[in-house]
Amino acid sequence: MDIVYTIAYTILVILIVVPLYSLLIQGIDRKIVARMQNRVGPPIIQPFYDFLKLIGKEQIIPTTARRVFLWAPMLCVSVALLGFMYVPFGTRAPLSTRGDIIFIMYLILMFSAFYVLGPMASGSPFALVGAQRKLIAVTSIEVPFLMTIGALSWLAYRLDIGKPFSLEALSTLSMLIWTQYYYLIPLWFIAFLIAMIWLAGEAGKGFFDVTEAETELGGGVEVEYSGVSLAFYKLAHVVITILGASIITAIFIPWKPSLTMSTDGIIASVLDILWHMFIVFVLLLFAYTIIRAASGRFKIDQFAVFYWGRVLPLTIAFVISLYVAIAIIW
Amino acid sequence: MIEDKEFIRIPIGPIHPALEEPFKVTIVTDGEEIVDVDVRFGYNYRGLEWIAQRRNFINVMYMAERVCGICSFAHTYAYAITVENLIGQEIPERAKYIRAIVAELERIHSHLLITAVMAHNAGFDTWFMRLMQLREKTMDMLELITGNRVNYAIMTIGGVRRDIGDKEKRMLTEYVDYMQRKVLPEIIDLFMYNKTIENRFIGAGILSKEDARAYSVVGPVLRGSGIDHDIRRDFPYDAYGSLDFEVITPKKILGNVRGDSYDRTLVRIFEIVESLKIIEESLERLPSGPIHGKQMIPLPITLKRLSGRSIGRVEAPRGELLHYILAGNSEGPIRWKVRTPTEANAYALKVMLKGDQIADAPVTIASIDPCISCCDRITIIDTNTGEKYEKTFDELLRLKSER
Repeated sequence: MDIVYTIAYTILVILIVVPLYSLLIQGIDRKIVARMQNRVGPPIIQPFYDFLKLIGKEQIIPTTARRVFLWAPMLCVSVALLGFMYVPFGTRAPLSTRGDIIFIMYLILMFSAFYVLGPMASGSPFALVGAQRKLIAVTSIEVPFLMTIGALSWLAYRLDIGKPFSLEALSTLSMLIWTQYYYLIPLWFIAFLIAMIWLAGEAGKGFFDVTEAETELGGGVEVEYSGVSLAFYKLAHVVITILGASIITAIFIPWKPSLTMSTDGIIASVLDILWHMFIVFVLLLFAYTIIRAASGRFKIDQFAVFYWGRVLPLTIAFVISLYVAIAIIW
Repeated sequence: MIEDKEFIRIPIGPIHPALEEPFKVTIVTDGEEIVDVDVRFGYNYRGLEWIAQRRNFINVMYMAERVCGICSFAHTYAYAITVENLIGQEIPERAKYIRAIVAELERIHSHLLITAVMAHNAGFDTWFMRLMQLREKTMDMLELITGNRVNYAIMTIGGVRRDIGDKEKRMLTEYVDYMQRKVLPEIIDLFMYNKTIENRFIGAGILSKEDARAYSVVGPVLRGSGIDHDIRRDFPYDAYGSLDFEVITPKKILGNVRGDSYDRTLVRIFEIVESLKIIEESLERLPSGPIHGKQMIPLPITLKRLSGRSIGRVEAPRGELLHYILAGNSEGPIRWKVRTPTEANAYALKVMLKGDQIADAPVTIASIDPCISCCDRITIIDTNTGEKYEKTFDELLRLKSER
């Protein structure tokens, strides 16, 4: 039964639903931004056309590029999609187990590594600068989020909820905070805020669009890519953003329709997936779409100062106050 | 240029998303910091002056119109003033005011355009869209008055070719009212208090007062560095002598001068306010009478007998624009020289960009409002010997077709 579920989930959700959804959400994003800018905007299925067209295009490989240049987009897509084996996309993730949150964090860092590997191997100065910026961005973005997740996991471990350091435990923790531990709700909100700032950095739009920076670096990391590689490279970036949103959904917004239903079948799963899509859309609306329409780009030093100077102190304050709150109560 | 492998050389241009037109700024970077800058022209050379020197004076007016796609009126204005100086013709009062109105409308749309481009270069596309919408409105007004959106073809030697009627006057007044009441407060508010603009424009591409003088920059770049200079006020031509307007420097608005991209944009935005004032005043004062001077001798015959040299200067949207004509009893000018504002401004990029970050480069480059099609010129230098030499037009044509 479990093997059947794993195979069905892999084929249906990971290989079909997630890629299609990531294209669809780009279309919705473009439409909303266009409406915010008083334009008509492209049709919602425009990203599908773009993707199909890019697949049919000739691929140009720079003479200075090394072989890893072509592998990198595929590796990025695989790593990003692999994440959904551990992060639930609506229904239960097939491989979720104890300690999976650590593995997921490694996956996201691995994605960043592959994401800069290709541009660095391309030999273009624009891509090189973009890759350098991406590395600076990753070191800035991930630290506060990892600290937050670590603190929450520690809390779940202390409360003896679920398997240690697993997403499931964190989901249960959120539910318990809203049903039993009311005094932790303010801290829950701070953690949610930090996670959303992380997601915005991961999505890399608006303020955080330092790696692509079209008008500065002509596309930055993706400047030398074309054809199939570009299609997958762009897709990978959106999939990892959706993975990020899914992680936040799993940790902070774990409520779903199937919890209220007695039946546990295909219909419940489908409802869960649709609900999850909606939640991800709402999260990305804030972290991706509105930020893109309402702001311009940071310089890379301003970017680093924002995360190290603003978000990290907030995170440290969060961790300390969480510890103090627990120490006082227990 | 520093020849060292450890530095990364990033070519911005000839083709780059941050540039509207082809020229090349090579920046040498150490990490994100810019260590050295090189500015090069010559990717859009059209040989306009050469062509113009083989046409007659009337035809050169059409050439002047097509020097630039944005300040096409400024070029015809400068050319007309030059020729009028040469033949000593007075132009009627009404034409003077119509010229001022069109020139100021053109200034508004040029300033809106470049501010929009700067916002786009800073990654702030929403503002870009908003400003371009307003520019479109301005272009509609230009179309209403002149019949054309880009090359207005309203200027002629000795006056203007089209009159402003009652309907045009009413619609212009409405436009000025709309801009002053609704739009400009919004733009100024957004510009002064927006985080993105502050982050990206302040401190980007600082040009000190001394450097501004040394590189003899013109227009908003000069005024943005705190030097109070405007051809319209200091050397008034046509109606500007009697019109009341202020020359904007950052000191008058903010109280201090930094000379960065923010200040240059500030100057542009507040110049839009002044331009609207000028249009309003011109419309009020618009005297009745002819729009074109009467000549005893037909103009082509007068022009054929021309000799001597003359200079015409106007304040184009980008700064001081200078036309020089040398005539000697011939069909057309023996020498027609156009000194465009970009030519004066572009080399100051070398000072502006040094020490800044890569992220500042697109904003700074846009902040001087480069217009390459106006200013492009070539010098052919043998890199081995450092020797300069000239090529004839036919040789250039042959080289072009070979490539």
